[in-house]
Amino acid sequence: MNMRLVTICFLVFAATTIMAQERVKKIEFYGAAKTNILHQDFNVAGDTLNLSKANYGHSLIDLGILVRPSANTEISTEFRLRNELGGFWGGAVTYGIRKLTLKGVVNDAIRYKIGDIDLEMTPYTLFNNNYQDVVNEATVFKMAREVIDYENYFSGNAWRQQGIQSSYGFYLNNETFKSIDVNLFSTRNRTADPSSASPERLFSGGQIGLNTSYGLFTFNSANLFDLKNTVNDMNLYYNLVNTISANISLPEFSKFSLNYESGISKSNYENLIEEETETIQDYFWNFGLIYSSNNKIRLSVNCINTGPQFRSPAAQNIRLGYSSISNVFPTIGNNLAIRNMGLIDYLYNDVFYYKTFDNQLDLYNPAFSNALPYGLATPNRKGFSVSLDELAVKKVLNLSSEIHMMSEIIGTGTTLLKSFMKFVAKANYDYKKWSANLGLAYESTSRDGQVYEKIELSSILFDFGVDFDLTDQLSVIFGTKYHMANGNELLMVYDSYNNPLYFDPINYNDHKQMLNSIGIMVNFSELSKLTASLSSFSQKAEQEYAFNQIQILYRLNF
Amino acid sequence: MKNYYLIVIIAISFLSCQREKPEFLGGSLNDQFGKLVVLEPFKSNTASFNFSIVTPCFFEAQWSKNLNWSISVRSSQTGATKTFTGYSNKLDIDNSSWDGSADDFPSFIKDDICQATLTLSDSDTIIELTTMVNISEIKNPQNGLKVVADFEDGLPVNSLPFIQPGAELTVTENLAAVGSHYLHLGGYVPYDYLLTSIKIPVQGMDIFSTTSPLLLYFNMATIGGVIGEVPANQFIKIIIREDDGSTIANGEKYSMLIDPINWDMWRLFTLPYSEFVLESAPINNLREPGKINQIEIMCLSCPAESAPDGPTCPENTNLIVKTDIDFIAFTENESYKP
Repeated sequence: MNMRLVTICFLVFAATTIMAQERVKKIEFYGAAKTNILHQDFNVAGDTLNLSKANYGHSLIDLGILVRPSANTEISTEFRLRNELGGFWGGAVTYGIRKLTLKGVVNDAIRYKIGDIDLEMTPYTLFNNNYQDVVNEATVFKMAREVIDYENYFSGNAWRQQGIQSSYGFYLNNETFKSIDVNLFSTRNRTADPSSASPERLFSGGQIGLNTSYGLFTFNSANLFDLKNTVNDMNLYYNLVNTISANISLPEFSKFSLNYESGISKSNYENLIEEETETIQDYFWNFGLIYSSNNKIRLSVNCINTGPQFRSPAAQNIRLGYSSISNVFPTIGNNLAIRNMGLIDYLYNDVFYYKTFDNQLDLYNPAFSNALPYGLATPNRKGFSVSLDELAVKKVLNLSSEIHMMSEIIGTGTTLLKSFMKFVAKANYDYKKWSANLGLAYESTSRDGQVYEKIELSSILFDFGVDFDLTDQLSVIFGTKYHMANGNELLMVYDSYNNPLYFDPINYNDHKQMLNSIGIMVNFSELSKLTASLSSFSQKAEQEYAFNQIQILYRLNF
Repeated sequence: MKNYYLIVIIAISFLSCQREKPEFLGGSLNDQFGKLVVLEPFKSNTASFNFSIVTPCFFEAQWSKNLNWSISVRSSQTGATKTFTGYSNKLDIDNSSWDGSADDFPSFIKDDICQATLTLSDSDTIIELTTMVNISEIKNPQNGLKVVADFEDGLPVNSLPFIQPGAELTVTENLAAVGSHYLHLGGYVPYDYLLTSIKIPVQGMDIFSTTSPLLLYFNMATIGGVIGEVPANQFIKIIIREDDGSTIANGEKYSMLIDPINWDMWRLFTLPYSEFVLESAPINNLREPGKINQIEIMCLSCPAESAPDGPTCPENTNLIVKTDIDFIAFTENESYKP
């Protein structure tokens, strides 16, 4: 079936290509090739039942074709051919279409995209939050991270969706109100499933930006809703998030500017059987003052208040599925217990990353992020943050830092409130053949009260990397990643309305994990890189184990 | 400058928004993890319960967390029981009021002395508290109750018993479902399904002449003997006759079977009259509560040796049938509350 589909697509595409060649003769080929070979050695004291070695990998090529049938239209598509390591004679070959997008301009004014589109708005409306196991990663890890990004369509903080997007703008011929930019989209978030009575779900919204002499004012709207009558409906869901954001310069204080975003959310859960509707609504605001001087320093202070019932599915999300299990060494010990995943799995193995969002708050891992597990839009948080966005020292050292001091707005399970502190510091050093990067994220959570209410949790994530260029093309790269968590937390288990239902006690008894890698990187060209690395990983927690790993990763973009 | 004021006003408008604040989100941590401690002892609100007047009768206690609790009240004389369950951190008039009814037969009696046991259990602790309570007066008869037979004064007047050789039909004084007497049915008849039966005349049913058969309940207390010591296929057939025929004999008959096999304690059998099945030739095929004039209770079992019409059950050899009954009554709108 897949083969037939691909063949039909290819023939249609080829026909389009020939037609395009005849008209404007503008066809471009691009693509990416990758070979990733991993050998892992799993060491657990006293384990005689589980396998101790794994050897796997794959090669793939993504062939992209860009066709411009006319000056105002562009079609891009990517075909994928993938072969697993050891899949001789095509036995483990998979193929498919990775991307198909049509875009163009109507009347030189209205831009549109149809098909696979990357969407991003603000951290409260539509935002793919960053990885939680990264602060300032070493080059040797960045190579692997780029593979995760590429495979899961993570591009910045955008979500890959399928649908239609259109944008246009016009000038107002007014000194104060200069122009208006409009960006609208509608995508299919979920297909209908009659067996579970899950209706088709759409995600629609957009931004209307007003450029003024004082700055940019934007209205943002994100709506996730079920389409009625696509199945035998039993429940219908609707969520809207409307916000206003502003970036305002202050002419009298040229070094200062204001940023602001506030808005409301409303979720409707309609039960068509019981003829009942549950409505959940709340609001948030984020008000900030930015100081920037001569491009050398940029400092911002923000006050944040996000209501406990604020629901924004496209922004309250986590990339990593913390509950997922890798198929590489899934069990541990002679009792075949499920192995707790660690940093090496998150970076190299086949754990699950969310490719889209849904209406349910995902399971988070307080050892990695407890202050703002769902990004800035994390519900039930108030406090302030101070960010040093950039500080350049003699052109060789770049520093940045941020600190968040937060607390709950309403207690969870008790009237007492949790307090959170998150501190992040990053440094990048670049001098002659040496470059180094360092990152530290520290989080603490605390709550007083009775024994069963008391929370004391601290975690540290540390990233460090050094690169040394032996020649223009050859570099030695080293990286280390360290994570520590100590203390306890009561993990919220949500009901179907994303309200806390009950609490799962979690204890981290000096939980530590460390990943070290050293390797060489060959830059054949700007577009072609080969990395060979040796890694060791150890975890000291309830489950103690170690990994040794050899990776050969070749990436070619053309 | 006025634009800045505008910005500040917008910001303040959001800062000044007020949320509806619950005490906290989610289930209480105290309920989930807190220690279970009894704060106020378990007791009844009065020393003796008089269920014949409207004064509330309930239990009181308080403890440190919301949890699932149960109260079991047991009569020391009749063995009657009453159970209350709930989820809270205290007992009060709202969750432990008692109207004097029992869970099932037997009922509580006047001057009963009862022991009430409160059981509190969370994930790792179980606490049991007890208190004694006297019943000075039993509850008033239920609204819409018509007692057909309670056997306190022997067999009902004009009733027609039928007893096969080897069978028994006797009014017995012992642990009755209600009062002190009940009708013992049973015995050993290895040659026929029918052991014994009794036809009890019913009068005064015209009070239910406007009652829907959906809302008229037939009620009877039944006990099936000691488990394993009675035939596994003993059963009772109830036939209700109406006087809508030209004679008593040819009125419509509606029947129902019950199998008191594992009923080693008195149980309430209750069913709306609408669910009884027409057994005779139809006259108007309408269940008319106001026309009920006779109830026949038949004690039956598969015979061990021979049967005039049906298979035999050799496994029933020497097994004594015991399908005792008590308190035959009709109620309106709801089942009888023992």
